[in-house]
Amino acid sequence: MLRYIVRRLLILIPIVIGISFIVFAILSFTPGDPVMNIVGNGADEATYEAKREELGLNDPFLVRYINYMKNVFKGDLGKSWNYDTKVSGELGRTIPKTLILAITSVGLMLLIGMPIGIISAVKQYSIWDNLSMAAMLVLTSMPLFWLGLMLMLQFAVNIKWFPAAFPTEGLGTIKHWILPTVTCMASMMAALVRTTRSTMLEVIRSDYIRTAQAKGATERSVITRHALRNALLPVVTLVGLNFGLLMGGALVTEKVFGIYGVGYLLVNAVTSRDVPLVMGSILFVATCIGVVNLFVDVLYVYIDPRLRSEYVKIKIKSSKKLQI
Amino acid sequence: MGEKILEIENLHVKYKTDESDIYAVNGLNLCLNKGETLGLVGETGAGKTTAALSILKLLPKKIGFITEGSVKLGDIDIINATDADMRLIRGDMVSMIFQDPMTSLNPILRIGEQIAEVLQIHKKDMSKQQIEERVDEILNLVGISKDRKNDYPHQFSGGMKQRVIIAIGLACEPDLLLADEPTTALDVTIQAQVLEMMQELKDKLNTSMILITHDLGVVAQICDRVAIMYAGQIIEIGNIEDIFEGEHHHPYTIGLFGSIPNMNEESKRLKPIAGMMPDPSELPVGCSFKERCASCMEICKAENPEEAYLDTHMIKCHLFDRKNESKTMS
Ligand SMILES: Nc1ncnc2c1ncn2[C@@H]1O[C@H](COP(=O)(O)OP(=O)(O)O)[C@@H](O)[C@H]1O
Ligand code: SF4
Ligand SMILES: [Mg+2]
Repeated sequence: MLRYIVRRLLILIPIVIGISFIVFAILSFTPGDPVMNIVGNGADEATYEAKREELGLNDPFLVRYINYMKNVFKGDLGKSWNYDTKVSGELGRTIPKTLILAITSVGLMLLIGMPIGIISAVKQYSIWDNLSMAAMLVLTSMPLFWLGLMLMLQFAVNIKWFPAAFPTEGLGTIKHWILPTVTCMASMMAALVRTTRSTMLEVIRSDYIRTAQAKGATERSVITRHALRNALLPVVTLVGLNFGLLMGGALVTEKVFGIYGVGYLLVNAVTSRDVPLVMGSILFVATCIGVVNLFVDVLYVYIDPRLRSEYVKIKIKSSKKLQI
Repeated sequence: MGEKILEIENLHVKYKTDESDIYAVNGLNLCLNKGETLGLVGETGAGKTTAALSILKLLPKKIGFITEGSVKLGDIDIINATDADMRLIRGDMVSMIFQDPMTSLNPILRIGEQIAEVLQIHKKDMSKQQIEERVDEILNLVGISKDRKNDYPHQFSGGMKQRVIIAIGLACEPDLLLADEPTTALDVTIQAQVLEMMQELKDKLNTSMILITHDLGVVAQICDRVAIMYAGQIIEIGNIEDIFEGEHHHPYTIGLFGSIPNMNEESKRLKPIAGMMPDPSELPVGCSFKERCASCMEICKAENPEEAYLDTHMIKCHLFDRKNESKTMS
């Protein structure tokens, strides 16, 4: 297993390099002049040229890319063109917020969404099932920014349970995180509930569930011990996908609540064509998604023993290759 | 004969589906003595599985309903038993072995765990250690090395999986085993092995068994009695001798056996009969076999035949209704 994880991590390196190259190319070849953004419209020719030279923009594209990557491998993500601060510093300021939001919202989603999905499946077509399905439909059709604004208006402005503004420095308190977490969670909840419900329904009808019932197992034990783990694979996939996406920032939530996370940073960097900042963020996001995917795959193998032998097959195949 | 372990009277089971109501079992009568093996044969769709599931009240929830009749396990009235009562019976007093071994085991639990589970549920006084020992013992009984108890179902062949399922069924030494086509999904060579093993274990544990099967050879070999089911009813039942050597038979049985059944002939599978079983959502008036019966009479079209007994042999057909008082059956 360890060998498999290491191999997957090694494969991740060329993938991230590939992504960085593509993004670097897009940034370099889109029209518009990043230098003009920095020095301002009124700057004279000499200042402009000096800045251009300083940023290395007079070098050919490939040279620029290779220089950039050389620094990255040395551990230097460069300086932001706009703020003149270190990219690593900017990321260090934003990543914790993005991580907190991702973990709390995914955690809360699992805590609430899984039980709803399970109960809906077990009590299919009951009032509870119909109600929760209707609620999920409402949730999916609601624009996220609107929900965020409404929550803020109601709970922060009207009844003042929670603060409306997020502090510019630091990570805030628990109270600051509740509304953003709920908003962010709402966007993913419906998919989770529906996936849990439909896979549970499928599993509940399978033969081995009937075998468990024929043993005299209680309904609770049939659900938790036999059905749930079998229904987990699609849920794990979905949660992994959502978590990976959230690493790129929950843009709408961040904007509505004024949380300066990775999403915010990335959008600002792209609009101002701040190449080092965009590249730094992209490297972070791509690595995160890669690692989350790996984590999901490892979890799969842990959940489903059938995949363990698949993995053994891979091992046999690769060892055969070595013999040849 | 010995004490009765199972008594089913006038059982009716209905499936409610979106399109229609399906009458799967229509007035089934059946008795089983302790230690006895009953073969239950009949075409696909005759209601064999439904009848077996009814005994354990495992009919699919909100779809399958027992609408009439009584089922008694010894003194226990199954129809009025609560869910909690049924859970005590399932796996302990009565076990069921399902048709498809490939899908009947939980793919993510070790086979040892799956056997141990039924012991954990019913043998509360057994320690962990004792349960482990019992699992080893029962694996040994069904011919699987105990070293394999930590393996998962996908690591076993179909025949081995069915052995594991039989181990689960017999772990608590039940009084009654319901085996629903336990070998249909297996290779012919494995079928004989598994059946032989089942019979050995059953004799050893003095378990009664209802064996649902298509294989008349198997029936002749290991059953004490045979019941033939058609459209949700038992239309003929009797000892092995009654069915395989007796002179009189229900026209359906004759069709099923391809000729007058004979124990000495090579074992053969059931023969298909021209025509189809009546649509279970619209039961016909009169005898349910009338459409396919060569001996069909006027009365058959109007009246459902009564059960006609002679000693151990019962035939449900107008041919034998009144005549059997004058005619002797052997
Ligand atoms: N879950 C179900 N829902 C609806 N109809 C069913 C269901 N299970 C069985 N039936 C119907 O009940 C009848 C008897 O089926 P079954 O008991 O499986 O017969 P057998 O085991 O003899 O092949 C068939 O017509 C079948 O289509
Ligand atoms: S009752 Fe009539 S139709 Fe039915 S099997 Fe007997 S002879 Fe045939
Ligand atoms: Mg069947």
